[in-house]
Amino acid sequence: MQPLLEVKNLKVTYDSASGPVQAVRDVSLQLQRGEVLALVGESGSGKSALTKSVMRLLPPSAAVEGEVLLNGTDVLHMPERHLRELRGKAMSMIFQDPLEVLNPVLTVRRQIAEAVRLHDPQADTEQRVRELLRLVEIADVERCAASLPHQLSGGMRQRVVLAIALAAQPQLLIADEPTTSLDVTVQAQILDLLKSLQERLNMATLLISHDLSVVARLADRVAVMYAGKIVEIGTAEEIFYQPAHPYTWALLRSLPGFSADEEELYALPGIPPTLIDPPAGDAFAPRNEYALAIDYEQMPPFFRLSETHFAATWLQDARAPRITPPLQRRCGE
Amino acid sequence: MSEALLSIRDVHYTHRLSGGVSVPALRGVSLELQPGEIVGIVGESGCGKSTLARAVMGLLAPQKGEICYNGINVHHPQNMAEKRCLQQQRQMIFQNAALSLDPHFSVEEIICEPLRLAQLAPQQGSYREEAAYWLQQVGLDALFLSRRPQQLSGGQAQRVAIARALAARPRLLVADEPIAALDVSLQAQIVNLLRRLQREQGFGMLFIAHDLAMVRHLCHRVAVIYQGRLVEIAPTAELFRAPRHGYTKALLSAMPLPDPRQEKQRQPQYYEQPVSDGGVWHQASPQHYWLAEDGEVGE
Amino acid sequence: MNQRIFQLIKRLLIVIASILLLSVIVFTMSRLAPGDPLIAYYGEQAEKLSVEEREWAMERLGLNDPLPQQYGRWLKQAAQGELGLSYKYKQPVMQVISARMGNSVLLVGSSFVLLCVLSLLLGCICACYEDSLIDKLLRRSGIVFSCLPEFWFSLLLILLFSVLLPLFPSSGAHCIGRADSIADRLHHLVLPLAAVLISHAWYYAYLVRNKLCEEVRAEYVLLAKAKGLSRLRILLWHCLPNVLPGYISLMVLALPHILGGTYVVEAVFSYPGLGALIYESARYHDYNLLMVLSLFTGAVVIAANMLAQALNERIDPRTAGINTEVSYYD
Repeated sequence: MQPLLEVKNLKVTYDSASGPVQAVRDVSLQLQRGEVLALVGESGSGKSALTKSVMRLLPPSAAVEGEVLLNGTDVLHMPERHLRELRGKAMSMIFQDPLEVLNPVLTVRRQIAEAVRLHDPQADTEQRVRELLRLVEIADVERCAASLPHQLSGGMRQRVVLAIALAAQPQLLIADEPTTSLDVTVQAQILDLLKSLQERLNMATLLISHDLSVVARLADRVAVMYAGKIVEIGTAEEIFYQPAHPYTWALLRSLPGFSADEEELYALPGIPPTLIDPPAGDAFAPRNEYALAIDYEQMPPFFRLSETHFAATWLQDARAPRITPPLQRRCGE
Repeated sequence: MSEALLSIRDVHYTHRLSGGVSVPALRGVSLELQPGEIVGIVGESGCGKSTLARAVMGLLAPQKGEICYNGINVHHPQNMAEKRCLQQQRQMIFQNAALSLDPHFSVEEIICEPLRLAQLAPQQGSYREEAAYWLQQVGLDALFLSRRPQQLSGGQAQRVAIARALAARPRLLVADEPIAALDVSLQAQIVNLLRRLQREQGFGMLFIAHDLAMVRHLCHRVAVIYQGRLVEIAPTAELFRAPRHGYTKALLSAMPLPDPRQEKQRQPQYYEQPVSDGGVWHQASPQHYWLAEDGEVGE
Repeated sequence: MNQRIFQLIKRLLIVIASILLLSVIVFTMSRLAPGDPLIAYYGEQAEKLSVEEREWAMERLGLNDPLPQQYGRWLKQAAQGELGLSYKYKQPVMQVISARMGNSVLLVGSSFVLLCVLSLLLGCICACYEDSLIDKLLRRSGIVFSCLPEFWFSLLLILLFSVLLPLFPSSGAHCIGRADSIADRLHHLVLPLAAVLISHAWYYAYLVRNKLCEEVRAEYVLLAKAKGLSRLRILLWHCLPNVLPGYISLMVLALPHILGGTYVVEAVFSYPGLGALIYESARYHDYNLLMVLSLFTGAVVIAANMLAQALNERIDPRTAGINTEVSYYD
């Protein structure tokens, strides 16, 4: 079956003051209809650049190579006019900070109505706006519609952004750190809402987060990114219960629920590499306590661990020493 | 009573906004912090956590109640010596560090400012070395000494702010969401650092955060604030094991776990009842107190 | 609704109080300034008056009384619509002004409106095609034009378009005997208007351009793009409403500046407007005339301020302060 979204050998390069930054380095992935794929990684790992290049929201100074196919059509080389028809209709996006992305001087009603009218000029806009607000489980629809963004709470704002994103019933929703700026309880509510909408509307979702705990609830599959590359990809269960890449181990170990040591959390030593002149071998090698000599020389290929599980680490090579992941699950206590 | 490092007694604070609107932020919060203790403060945004932090720092004056640090009323220090003592021994880390750093200062000046103000001699030879030492403590290179805040990323600015607060050798550290803006691996690094320094130097800390897992890891006691009222306070392990107040239960049920099987079954509870000004305090165990509404059955 | 009426009354009271305060200040300042008010009244002859004659003249004009008493008298008469005589023109003040008012309102009004439209338009064009050839061209030429002194530029226009190429008249508001012809008035207006517009427009256009370019980088533009909106629509429907309140406030602040600019232009083009009158009345201590002209200018600025505030509240309700709910502090 043709996947909904297919990214092939995507490379994104930004210009910065100190030289070109390779934000995304040769990433390929596929997303099926109705599936939730979580992209996890630290800031600077390229997850935002990846999703923005899918929506083509990168500034013109960024050079993008490779292919992004949505339903088989190439998004990257599409003329602006066609692209505008896809945005909002075929794919939508929600963002980290809902207050920042809503226009401060326009009412919620106008901002949603605009999205509705754009893709369906014949629709009964008023009616649709109310429907959408009800869809995102806002209780007092009329009052919310008449409000300005700053009059709403953080959770409400994110619901409004979600309503805008859902206006034209997209097949693909990109959620860029949708709950990072929210409280624990609101975060749980928004994640549950995303989950139920995703199931009801059979909408594929690309969920971005720096926090593995957040994606556990939603994700069918998880891709872990480091320094512009995917280092491990697999089903949520595979990533959480049988992680294979030392970087995934590190991410899990730094969570209090996983730390083997009751006293001290695991803190990844060193800093992420600058992607101006990335190292020849595995970019994670200098911070990796299990690094092998070959890691410094040659980029590891993807090793296939199962039908769905791939990890780019030389530790999976037949010649490598066997290592037990340094993880001790304490979270279920 | 008198040996508490910080005592907050029945503090009320109402934000007065233009147009005669007033929003109650704190409604009678009382809390004590012993020397060398880390108390976590959790609650939803808007519940008054940050207001409490600001009141403790003397950045806003409560309309009712008092806050004493080592017996000194933080809003009415009696003399210059008390004022100085407050200024140096009480430090704060803000949630948005990038905005709390003066853009005209270099990182070195930022870190050394509280030391110079308090006329403290540097422990590492020179002020520059002292600043470099603290940068290294928070995982930054000495190269950053001459940078300015706008040249720092969010995480770096946050670490500079932490270095600044710690360099002043505080006895009381108020940390308002110090790690919310950082990546997971950096969060771990900062939490380890705070924990280690707290052990070594024995300062007391108010740790305000919404990441319950970190609060659980770092704090000795946890205070839960809901709609401007303290609703439950208990030693960390006990609170997480046996929460009593409905809001605490809801909060804990919403805590995300890095475990997909558990997560996919979890049914978070929600708690949206208003909390009245009344209510009765119940003691669940020697150090565990919770607020029950009138008529609600306590044990 | 009650709150709105209350706000309206409050604002009206503030306007009245501001105008009263302004009148006190202008009244006191003009009397304190050194110089001889009788020169306005008697012209050259004032120098030759004997001490007794001077005393008598001062007494007759009421200039010997203590200041508060003089002010009280002026206020009482003004309240009855009696604004006094112009010392210089020996005519009621209103009559002197009304003869020139029309010309000035035409010049200032049209230049202000055109200036607003032009600077917004230029700013939007530059922001829409940021860093393109047209943006660069407009920026370069704009800087050159705004650096030219206004009077010199006016002279240049006269030289080019009425001496070398006799297309437009170089002075006056209309040809003699053709005061009623609108076409003729417009014909006379072209050069002064061009002088004001060209020397001021870029300054404001540049501010609009920069604010817009900043706004285009805001996060909400990402969401607008993700909705599928076109760049032009985002610029006009999303960015512009965020820029407008600041722009309107700025234009109101600019109003006195533009008024001053047109006064210079009026002088160069011998355009019979209020500009020359204000200058003369201050120079020759023509108190009654000065009072009315200053108050008139002040009232225009205050009214413009009120209008701007009302407009801004419509565009951005956050500035209103009423009817906005509170979002929490934490």
